[in-house]
Amino acid sequence: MKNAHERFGRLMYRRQTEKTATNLRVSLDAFMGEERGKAHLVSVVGGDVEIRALADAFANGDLFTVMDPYGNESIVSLGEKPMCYRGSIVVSGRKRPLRHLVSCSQELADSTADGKLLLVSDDQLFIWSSLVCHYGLPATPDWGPWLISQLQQQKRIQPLLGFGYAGVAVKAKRKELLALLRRGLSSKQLAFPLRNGAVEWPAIYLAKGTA
Amino acid sequence: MRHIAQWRSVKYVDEFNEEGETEGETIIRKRERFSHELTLAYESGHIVELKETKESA
Repeated sequence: MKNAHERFGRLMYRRQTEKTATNLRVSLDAFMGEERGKAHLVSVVGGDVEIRALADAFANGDLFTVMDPYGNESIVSLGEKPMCYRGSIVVSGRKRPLRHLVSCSQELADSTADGKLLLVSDDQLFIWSSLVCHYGLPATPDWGPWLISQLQQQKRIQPLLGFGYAGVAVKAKRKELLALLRRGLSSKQLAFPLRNGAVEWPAIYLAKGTA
Repeated sequence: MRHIAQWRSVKYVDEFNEEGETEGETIIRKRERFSHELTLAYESGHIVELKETKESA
């Protein structure tokens, strides 16, 4: 684990109207996004006023600048109607708690998407269980490695930009995934469990990566 | 025949158009509801989807 100042990025927001000028800089804990200024996940910590102003800015779809721990900058927006979750972090030695804001784009939170699924981890089991759950696929955990390898061969799993989480975009439709299952079962690449019974999935934990 | 089944509920949005009180006014009503969807994968590779389909006119 690196020191906080080494693993955090920065988020800068500037807005100028006739009467007021807002200029904010807060610590950026995690960021996930795509090319062409699309942000999907932003996790920032800061003071109460800063976080409140940022939540409003995100809700407005305003542009802001993110700088990763290596100093690379990009101008992005969370798009229309992002979801914002606010919390407090009590830090010993500070009078007031830090405010934490996690915002995600509609596209990341979309539970009905068919064709592109955005995920916050590149772990194979996480990707496979997310696909099964999202698209309602009849499958077992053991089928994951073969199916993920097929998707990788077809370049359907693409890493997302950012740090904090190793996000990926899986570009496959439900019918395409069912076709892959059909092919795997017909060619005996995928085997049924030896015994009948409910398919048990292991517990999945998301570990936050360090930059 | 051995198979693996996956059930899920799927949200559908029904849309109704009604004539409004004033001339040329159309009221669009949307009703959200959930329906069942069952997908079966057979050992042979055969895959069956049982879900709501639109009634043919």
